[in-house]
Amino acid sequence: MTSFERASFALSVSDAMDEDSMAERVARIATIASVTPSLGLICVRDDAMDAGMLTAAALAASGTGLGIVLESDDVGNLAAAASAIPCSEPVLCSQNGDQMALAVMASTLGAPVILSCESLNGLMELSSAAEAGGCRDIMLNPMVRNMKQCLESTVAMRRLAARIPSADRPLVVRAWSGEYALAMASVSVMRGGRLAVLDDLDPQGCEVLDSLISNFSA
Amino acid sequence: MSRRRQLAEVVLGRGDYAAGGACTEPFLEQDGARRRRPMVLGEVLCHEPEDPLVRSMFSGRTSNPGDWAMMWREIGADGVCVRVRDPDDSMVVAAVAIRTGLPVAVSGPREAVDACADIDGTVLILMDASPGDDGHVRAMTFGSGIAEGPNRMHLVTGRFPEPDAFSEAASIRNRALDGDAYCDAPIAFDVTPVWDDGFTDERSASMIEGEAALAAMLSGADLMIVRGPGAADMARVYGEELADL
Repeated sequence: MTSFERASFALSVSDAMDEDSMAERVARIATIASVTPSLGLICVRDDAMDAGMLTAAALAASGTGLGIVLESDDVGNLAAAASAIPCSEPVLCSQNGDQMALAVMASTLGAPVILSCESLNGLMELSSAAEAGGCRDIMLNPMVRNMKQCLESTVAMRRLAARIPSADRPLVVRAWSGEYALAMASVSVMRGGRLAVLDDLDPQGCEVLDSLISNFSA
Repeated sequence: MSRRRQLAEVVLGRGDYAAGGACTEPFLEQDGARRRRPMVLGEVLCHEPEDPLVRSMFSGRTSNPGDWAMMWREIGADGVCVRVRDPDDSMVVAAVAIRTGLPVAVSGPREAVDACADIDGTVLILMDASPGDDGHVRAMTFGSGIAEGPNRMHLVTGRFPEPDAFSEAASIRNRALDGDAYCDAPIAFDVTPVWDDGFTDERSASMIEGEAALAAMLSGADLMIVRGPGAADMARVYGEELADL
């Protein structure tokens, strides 16, 4: 049982923004989310690589009532921000960080975690190890870079999940901005992906993705 | 689980285009998918379209079906789909076929479509507007120079993002891979109903129709009919990437 039984997507905010820009960005995401049910989370990116700035950005995002994804290559920064925000269960993600350290921290905080690895076997090993270490909600990010990889990885993971319990986890796709990001998220949704984290998407793109999730996600 | 079976293809144009011929679920390299992207056909009307956005997207060429079809050729469409209304429109279809040299699909009332059957110089896909006995609408190809082999296609149409038509296409592909002989025919997917509510601007039209085309190809479409040039471009690019061309 996971927190992501229903597909959803997130837009992101960078902690490197100045205070006013960040408030504006967070407000914009909240406004789009108010009319876009599948936009359920804000991803706070640790672009500044600074625990204090990540925490400040996470606090700003937590005021929206949306779920929070904290993303940093520094697991220590994630721990600081996750402990500081009132949202009790931010989702922790560290695409390029130490995945086992991330899993230990998620277990300690009782937080959902996105484990990232380019190899599907590696993802399965991580998933098993994190579960053995006490992680509750585990999601898997195969770190795809394009639509083709997204299609192949998502299908491969779903096929593995039919045979191997440790592979049966919600799948995450990380995409950038604009129409290509929308296309990647669409491929993921249509093949059973559960969470798409995008850097940015305009309201119209969000509406399209929301419709797609409503109509096509399993 | 992975399935692999060689499915039928239909040769179009003067033998230089082919739709179908898949052997796996759409685009799956892990199953040994054939590296072929779906064909993209642009819509042409035999009359001036009412939607000002469509007229604007083709820079006024919509007043002449031949010019309109040529614009589709210039922007890289694999063919055109001419919407005919009455038998006299067959002359327009003949002119489009000769001028573009592209495969031409014809869609409209049966009488108007039948009038196009003897047009020489191309292979036509004639789309029967009335549903078949089994609930599917069928497309037939015939005309000069058609290659040997199956000449039947499924025609699926639906309004994105409503899922029914996409589920139907996926079901046809899956059943064909499971050995259902009736389903073993290429799928033509008309995504133009996505325009039914109209669009306010070119960008949203391109984005939403492009998404509809992406959904269609992931559902197993071998040939897609689109209205906007932006969507055609997106469909071609996405198809090439997914087919790893």
